[in-house]
Amino acid sequence: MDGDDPPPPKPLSIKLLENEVYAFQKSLKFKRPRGLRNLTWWGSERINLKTGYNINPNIVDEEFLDEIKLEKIGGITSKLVWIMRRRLGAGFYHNTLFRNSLIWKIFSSMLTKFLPYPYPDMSQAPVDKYPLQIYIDCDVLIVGGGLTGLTIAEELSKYIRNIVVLDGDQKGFGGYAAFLDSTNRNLKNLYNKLRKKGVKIVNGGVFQGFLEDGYIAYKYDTNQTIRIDSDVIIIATGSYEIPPLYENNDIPMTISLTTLLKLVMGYSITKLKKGILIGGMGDLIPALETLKKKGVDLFLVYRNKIPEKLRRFLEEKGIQYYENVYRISSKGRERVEYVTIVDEKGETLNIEVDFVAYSPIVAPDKEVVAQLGIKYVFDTRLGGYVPMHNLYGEIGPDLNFYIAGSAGGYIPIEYISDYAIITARYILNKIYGKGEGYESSASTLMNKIKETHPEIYEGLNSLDAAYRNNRSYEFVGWEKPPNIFHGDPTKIFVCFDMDILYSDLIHMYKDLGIWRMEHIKRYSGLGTGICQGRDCQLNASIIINNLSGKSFLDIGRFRARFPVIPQTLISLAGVET
Amino acid sequence: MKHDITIVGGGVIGLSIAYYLKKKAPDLDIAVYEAKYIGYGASTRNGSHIRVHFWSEPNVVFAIKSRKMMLSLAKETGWNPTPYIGGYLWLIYDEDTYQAYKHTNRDIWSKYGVAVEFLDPEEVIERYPYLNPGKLITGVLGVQDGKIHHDFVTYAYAYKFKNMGGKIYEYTPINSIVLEEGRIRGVDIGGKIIESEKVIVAAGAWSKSLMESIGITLPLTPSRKELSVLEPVNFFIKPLIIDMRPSSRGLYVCQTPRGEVMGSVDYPEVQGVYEFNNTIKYLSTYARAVIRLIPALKYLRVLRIWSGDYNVSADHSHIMGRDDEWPDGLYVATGYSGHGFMMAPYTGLLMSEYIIEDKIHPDMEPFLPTRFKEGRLVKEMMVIG
Repeated sequence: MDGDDPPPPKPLSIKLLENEVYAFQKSLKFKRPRGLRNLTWWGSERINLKTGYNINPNIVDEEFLDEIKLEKIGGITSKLVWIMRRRLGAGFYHNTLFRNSLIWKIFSSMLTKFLPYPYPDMSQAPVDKYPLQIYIDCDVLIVGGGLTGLTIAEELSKYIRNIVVLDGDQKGFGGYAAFLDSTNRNLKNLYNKLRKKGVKIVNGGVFQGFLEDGYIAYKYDTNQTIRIDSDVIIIATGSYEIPPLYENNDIPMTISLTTLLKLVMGYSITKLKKGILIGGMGDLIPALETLKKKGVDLFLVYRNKIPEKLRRFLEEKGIQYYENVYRISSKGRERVEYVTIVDEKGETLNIEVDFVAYSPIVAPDKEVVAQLGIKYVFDTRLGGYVPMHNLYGEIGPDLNFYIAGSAGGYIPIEYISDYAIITARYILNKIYGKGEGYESSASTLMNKIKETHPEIYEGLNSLDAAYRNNRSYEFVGWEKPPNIFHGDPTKIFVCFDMDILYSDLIHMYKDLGIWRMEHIKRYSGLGTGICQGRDCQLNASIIINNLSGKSFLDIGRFRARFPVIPQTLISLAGVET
Repeated sequence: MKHDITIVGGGVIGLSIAYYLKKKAPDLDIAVYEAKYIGYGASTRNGSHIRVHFWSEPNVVFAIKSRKMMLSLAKETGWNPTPYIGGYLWLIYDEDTYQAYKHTNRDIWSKYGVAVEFLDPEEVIERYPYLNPGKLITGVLGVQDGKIHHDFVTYAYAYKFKNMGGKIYEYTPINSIVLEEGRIRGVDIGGKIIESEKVIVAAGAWSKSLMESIGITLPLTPSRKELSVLEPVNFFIKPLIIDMRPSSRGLYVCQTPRGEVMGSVDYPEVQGVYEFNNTIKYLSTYARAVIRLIPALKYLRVLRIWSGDYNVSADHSHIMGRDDEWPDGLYVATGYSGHGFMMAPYTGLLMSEYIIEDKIHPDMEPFLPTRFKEGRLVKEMMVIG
């Protein structure tokens, strides 16, 4: 986007995709082949090709590009263990078979010898120098350089000088809006304008969280820790799509809609010609328009009945769709090859595809604020678990942290800018006593939302009321959860890192009476992998809610922990205390 | 509502006591009250190791029996807690400490069959080539020690207890213990008094304030400990390694059989009950110390960090049983000073004997709460982390 500088180097994952290598990662526990999914920071992840698992930039050797093959991912031991584990369940080592201490001894020594992980590089020399840390000392830090983050930066920059925007992605990217035809130009202009104005935009830095004695971000491209000293922190991390649950939903090239847009629009990958899009909640129209222009052939698959506005659009543009889909099952090894769709009347359809994209639930990316231990509500209209805040993004009257845009609940794309401006004005008013009023523009915006998206209007109002009363509430508006399809529960993955299946959750609930998320995490290891529960936590609670009828607030979420993305030890060693 | 026995605290200690009580007296109405969820507190936030190497005789005796029970837990409860006996390795850098280990070995450990190997620096490097031990005097390897999945021990007791008809109430905090005419009447929950013949306080770090509310002071100081987990790599760190250089600030590091490298330093020292937060001070101190000891870890990434607590008593040993001067029907099992998880099985057994049969087992006697006023301290000096 920034015309003066050369474009950033392509991430390794992109090079691999261009070479038609799709299964270049492995699951953490059983070495199952994995590809890209939906993590927003994957674009700059480096992959350890020797081991197949994304590990860290310093072990990676790009010469291994040719060597990577699916056969290397797998291995007999892990396959055997996987078969055993699929039959016996996530806590299979508690099975009668292993209660005999001798059998356990043999099995555990086998496990420890043949774990599907790499060894660390044992030849590392002792360290005498640690990477230098970076300091950011500013008045306002905005976490997230998407449409919300940049709009807020622009509004604040009218009155405040020292503003820093921290974005986790490569230069010139940003959130969902950066890849849509309708908003992409807007964002580019905004970016250049802010740079000229002197707003500092730091790319490749992920805000890791709030620790007692300071706040830390991690610049993964240079392996450095950023110490942050800022009066105000605004969390504008946006949202991410929750993976749908259907048979074989773990096959590589099952990607989120944002990832698809990023590949097609951001990296101009041309091999993605045809695929299905499992939709449900979000604003699909701008994305469908954008993809159609790029010549991507999409079939829209919907768990429920398709909303009237979307149906009209699909028919007008001649996009095929399937509603009330009962069962999906994908097939393939290195990548998704074809998909079988069965609707509720039993009609079956096989489609050959290059990818499966999904956007059934758009959940706020709340990992950072969750570390503060603030209360949350459960509202399907806003994307599931939502941190409690008022209409303007205030999360606590005494806290100088704010939550903005879709990080605080689903906001339709056309209102993102206006909504961001209101949050910015509120902050200006409250902290600096400057700027225009925010109340009248807020009520104008809310009236607009009420007309076009009455459900979201209700959701935002309930959230605001909940914040004022300091009381959580629960709203479940699904006829059928938009991301759960029928199928063999031993083939449906819930946690892609620790390989937890739908059937494991059934076993945990029905046989052991385990249903609280904190217990599920500890019993099965769900959510203890690289994603730390982002992908799996909501899905697991939907399953438990379906099985037991227990409320989402009782099922709960497990405590969010520092850091948001894995960070190397050596980068932390250099932090002065 | 009325119970025969009420246990305050659904951690591993409370649940172990509950399980053995129910096993001994199936007809009694026994209830466990937990303010949050089962295991909240130190039971789910610990290093999940067991050892028999203590510096005081009562603890050694207690730990040996507890270890044995831990290893046969699968038979007892039907839950395999996935033990792995990889040992403890103490890296010793000064002559005094070395002599202290020698003496303890001669005077106590050898007497009870607690095995120990003294390794010279070359041997340490040969056996553990990934270590960069610096100017090491000796390495002390305790071969009987090892790791066990702590959550499964807690769940095993909870599950069995529930299956035998015991009651567990989660998210049910106790406001206070209610007394009447010098004896226990029950507990106050949400303003309602639940009557109970006996009340056992096993509330970990929260025990001190709960006991103080009825005028009993226990010499306890909760102290926060922070831990971190690195991304999984193939299993290569077999023992739990303790680096005893003062500059390492009590570093210990271990690896779970599933590959995650876990460790801690004793810094910063934070006393009191805190919500389980973390600090940059800990992170950077730990990172420096562990990279110095095992340089191979330097590019591994931290997946998550958390903190738990040691409920440290005046003599670094647990307090179990009761004082006859206390109101009738009141018992405690607390102050495990970082050893609660490993001592839980034997605690449960002995406490159940004591409560049901009023029998004080000789192994339990040194740990009675009366020891502080009688001046019979256990004086355990070996606390790790």
